[in-house]
Amino acid sequence: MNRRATPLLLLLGALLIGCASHTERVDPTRSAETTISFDARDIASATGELARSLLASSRVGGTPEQPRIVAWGAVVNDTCQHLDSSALTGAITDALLESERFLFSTAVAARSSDRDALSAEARAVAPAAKRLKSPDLSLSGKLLQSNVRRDNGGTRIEYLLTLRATDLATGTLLWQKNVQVVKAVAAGMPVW
Amino acid sequence: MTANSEQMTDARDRERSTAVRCLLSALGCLLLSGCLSLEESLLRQEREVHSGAVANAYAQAAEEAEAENADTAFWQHEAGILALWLGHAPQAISHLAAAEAQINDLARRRYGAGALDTASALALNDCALPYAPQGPELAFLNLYKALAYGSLANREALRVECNRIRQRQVAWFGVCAGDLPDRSTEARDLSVAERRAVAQAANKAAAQTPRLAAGVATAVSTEAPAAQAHFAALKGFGNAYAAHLVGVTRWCAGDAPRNDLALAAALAPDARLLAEDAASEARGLRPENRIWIYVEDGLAPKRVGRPYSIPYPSIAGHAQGFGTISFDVPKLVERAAAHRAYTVNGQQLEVLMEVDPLMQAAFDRAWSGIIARQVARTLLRVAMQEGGQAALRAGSGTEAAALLWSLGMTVYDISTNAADLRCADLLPKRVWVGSMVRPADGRVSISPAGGRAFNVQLRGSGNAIVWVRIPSPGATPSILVINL
Repeated sequence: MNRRATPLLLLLGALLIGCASHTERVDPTRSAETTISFDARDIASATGELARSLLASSRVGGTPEQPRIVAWGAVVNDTCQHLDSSALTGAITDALLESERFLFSTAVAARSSDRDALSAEARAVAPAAKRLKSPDLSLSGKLLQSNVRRDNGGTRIEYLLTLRATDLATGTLLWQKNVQVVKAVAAGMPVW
Repeated sequence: MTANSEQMTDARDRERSTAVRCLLSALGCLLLSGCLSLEESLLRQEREVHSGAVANAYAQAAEEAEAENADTAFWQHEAGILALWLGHAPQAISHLAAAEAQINDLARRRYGAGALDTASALALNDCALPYAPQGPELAFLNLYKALAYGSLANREALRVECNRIRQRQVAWFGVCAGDLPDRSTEARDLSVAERRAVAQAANKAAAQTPRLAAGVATAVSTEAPAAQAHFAALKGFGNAYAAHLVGVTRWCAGDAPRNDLALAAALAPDARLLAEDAASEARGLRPENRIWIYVEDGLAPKRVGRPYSIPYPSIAGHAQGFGTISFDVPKLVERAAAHRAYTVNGQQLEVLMEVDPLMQAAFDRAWSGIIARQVARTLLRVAMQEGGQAALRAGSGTEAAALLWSLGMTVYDISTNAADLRCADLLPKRVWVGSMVRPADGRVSISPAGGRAFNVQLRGSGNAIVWVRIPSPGATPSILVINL
């Protein structure tokens, strides 16, 4: 009885040890895990590509000596995924600021989270000394999700991130770029 | 000496048999109390809803949702709906999001595992599986989340939930369309102009399924009877209420049209307002200072079990007689409407959606699976009972096996009986809709036929949605205002 039970107990123990949960640190640049969401790696790669393209454009201008003032317009999340659009704008802001060709207005922005209320309060304290700089450019965009049914019953999820730069003085579109990320799931699987 | 030894062995066997039966009885009591407890909690919740004490019903559902079992998603869903009735939008979002996450996890497990999961699901009672609503019911889940986010003025999250509703509709459309035997039926029924419209619509990103595109294109071409016939073939498809709310929300936000209003008009061809909205959107008009009033009336059909007991000849029982196996055959029972009509500021509301036939169609669709699983479960149960009895009769050496059999059977019973009364029992029976120019004084008076009128005071300006929920004549109306 005992001889028969011992291997079973060992197997059970091994299974329990195998199922033990633990926390691990994930390197986002090396992780091969794919998710159905527009996740952090997608955001990093898509916004990186947009920022590089924008910086390569000669039309948007800006130099370290005469940086252009940029204001964030609306960045619409038109997906099935609850995603804070500041995750999209943050990476692009970082890249443009690093180039030293652009400055960002925190007094003028479409979303309240991109504005700093203290700039208004500072002007109330010393109105003459502090003058707001009006933005030259606005950046706006949209993250679109399109779920397309595949022939095998599954779903292909196409994310399209669009960013565009508008000259606020003339109202003309100076630059625009789309970046596409496509994923696919089997039939019946949730798409968010 | 030998006689004494045999007597001692018999005595030990009797003690062991008594111990095994005591254990079986205790497990049986546990099973019975578990089932009664769930049934009682559901009945108590229903009484609370009817008596208007929604807060008590919510507290109970929230408590049940805390218990980690197979019905957690069901109770989270119920608690979310009840929280919305109470006007507690953050709690409603929290409960509904938890329900949705668990339902999605279940889908990943079920579809991700493939044949093994399918086989095990087939062998089990439908109720043994964790609560997993489909189609129209799922659209309601996201609809209520959308309303909750909207009432908190979170337009970004409102748009996300509208997109999810759209995706739910498309996915369910795929399921319903897949059931049709001839895939080309609709195409043959369409005229040349309609086929061209279908082709154009199919090219749009939003029209993800040609069949859906065909129906919507028919609706856009204002041939309502043809559209109705098209969607009637897809029995149980479509939530006109959700489609219209999504369409109105996107229309007012200035988002690109996606045929949601046309889809709503096609699904509810008798509602004049829906056709007007679809036509206005198609002409490129934008609504200004308009309000839409949705009234959810009554309660959707309730799922009840009709008990059956079947005697069977026991071949291994101690008494060698007849055993009895009992099971419930589920059915839906319709419930009364709260009020037969509604007027808002003197204007008659129209019926947007009858939920009863939609839920009945969804139930009918699942019927064969439910019965197949009931039969499989019943046969398995008989086999377990007989096996346990046989093991008991075989002698003391197999008592451990008998205990395992009985324990397995009891655990199985508890897990399969726990959900016998699940249904979409908090959804409305009927949905009414109306639209008007926003009153200058912001005062909206809603009058149920034969009931007491109640007022809603709108604040701000622009387009808005007024959502009203009246589950029963005696219940206090729940009201939400969403500025679009």
